[in-house]
Amino acid sequence: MAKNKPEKPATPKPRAASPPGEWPLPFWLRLTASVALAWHLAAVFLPPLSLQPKSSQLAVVTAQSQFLRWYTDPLYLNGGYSFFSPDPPLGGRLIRYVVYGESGEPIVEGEFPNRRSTSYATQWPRLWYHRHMMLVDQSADLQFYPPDDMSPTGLQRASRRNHELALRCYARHLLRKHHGQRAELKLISHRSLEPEEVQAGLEPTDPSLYRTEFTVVESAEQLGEPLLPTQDETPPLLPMRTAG
Amino acid sequence: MYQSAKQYIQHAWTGWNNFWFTPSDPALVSLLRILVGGMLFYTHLIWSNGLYDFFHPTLGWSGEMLPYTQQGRMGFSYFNYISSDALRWAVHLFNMVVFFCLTIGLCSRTMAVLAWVSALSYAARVTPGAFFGLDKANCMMITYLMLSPCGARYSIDRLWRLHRGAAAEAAGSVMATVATRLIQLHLCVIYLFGGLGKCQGDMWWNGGAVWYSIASYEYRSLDMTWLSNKVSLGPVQFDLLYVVDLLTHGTVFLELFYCVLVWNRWLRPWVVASAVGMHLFIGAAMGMWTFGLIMIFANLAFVGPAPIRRVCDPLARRVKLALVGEKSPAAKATA
Repeated sequence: MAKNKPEKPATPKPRAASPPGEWPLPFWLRLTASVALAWHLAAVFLPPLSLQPKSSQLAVVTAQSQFLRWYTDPLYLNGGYSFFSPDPPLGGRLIRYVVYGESGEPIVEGEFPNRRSTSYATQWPRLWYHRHMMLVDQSADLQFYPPDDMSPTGLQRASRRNHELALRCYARHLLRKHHGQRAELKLISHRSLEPEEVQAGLEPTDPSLYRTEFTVVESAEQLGEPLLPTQDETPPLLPMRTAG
Repeated sequence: MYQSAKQYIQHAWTGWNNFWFTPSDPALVSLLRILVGGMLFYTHLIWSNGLYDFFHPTLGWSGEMLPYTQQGRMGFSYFNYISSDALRWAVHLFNMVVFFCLTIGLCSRTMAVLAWVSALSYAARVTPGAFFGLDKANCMMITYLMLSPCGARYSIDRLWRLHRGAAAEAAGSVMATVATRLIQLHLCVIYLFGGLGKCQGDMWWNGGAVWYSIASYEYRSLDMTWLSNKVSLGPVQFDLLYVVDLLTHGTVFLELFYCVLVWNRWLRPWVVASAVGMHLFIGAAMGMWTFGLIMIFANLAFVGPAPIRRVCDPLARRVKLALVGEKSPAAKATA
């Protein structure tokens, strides 16, 4: 046997439990609360797991089922936390609109989000601006029309169709608000500068960085028809995912 | 084997009870009431600009899409049932009074419940459409504060109780502990999934993510594109894009490991300080001050009541002396 080694192994001392009375609640109440807390923590954890950029069927089926949604939806827990994930956007988007009157003259022009351009009304303060920025960003999230096929082209077509539907909704609101006859909305993408372009002296508002993705035109006559198709024409409804 | 298992379960149960059910000073939740109440007031004050545009049940920006966007969702918003502009304004003004009363701590428990219902209704109506992380954080904070004695300190309620001769020391509360722990754990979940989502991207690996975040013209409030420069450090040219890379990697690691490192008392100050720094950067560079601030408020859950009292009690004492005087016989050195 080596020197300095104890002859008998040390007996581990039991850790003393907290003295009773330090927890004012009775046992049955603590037990009940513990079950409730465990449920709540599961309800906090599972939805973002199901709303990741990539998530498993198990996570989606569990978190997005009515078994959990009766609790998570009303408490606003059924959302993800994938902020700027998986990658931040390579640029921003904005909507420029013109509402025309009866004689075809523009009665109002605007842009959102906008806080700098003096050509249009600005949204201030910053939070108000941000709400309009979200209107533009989240207009791309509508998934009302399912894709005809799952090829990249089919998915792109469906995405474009859904995006146009969202912008039509905005156009209809502008028509009603300004009592116009025709509203034209342009979705404009605005590419962010690369480091080399900053070094080259390119301004962030250079016209070359802006590109009109598509234009939507809505007329006052169309306001009499519903925006969303009727029951017979309704495509299979896809659940909206609020990931970010 | 059985004894070991029994001892393990007993220790785990003791630890669980210590974690959740040990009473704590309500100073923290009281301070959070003021901060979160103020944030709720401001957030919803801004909605005054567009109550019709954003909250009409069938019109406005997204009302016509509501049957689809809300289909299958089990949430509730009373705005889905308010078509009258006058009623909508009345409800909105009532809510502003509620948020104000919550902030100053008048009828705190009642106001907290009303504020909770309101915050959820506003958030549910604009989701999807115009929501973002601020709404999630607001709803999270008010949900947990509602469970706690958030009016126990730094409130009109407390001044009134002192005026009526109540004991100067607010009692420790189990619900204050429960609310604090829920905020702490929810924050861990937020950061964990924030980090996991970023791990699935390319730019959060190659260092470019922070660049595209600060370079986005629509987001930026402070021009940080000078980080594309090279600076001379004596004979060496230092590329500031390395700083961008460092911030990118730092963001991912902070978010991924926050949920583990923040529980260590030696590392906690550094982790919380890093999170506060990250949110200050998001606020300053990307204009999201409201989101940055509410997340900083949430991080205060890891500060604990003692430092809160050291900072807040002197001011609270002055307010109490000015408004209530020394009426409470036990109200000597505490607020």
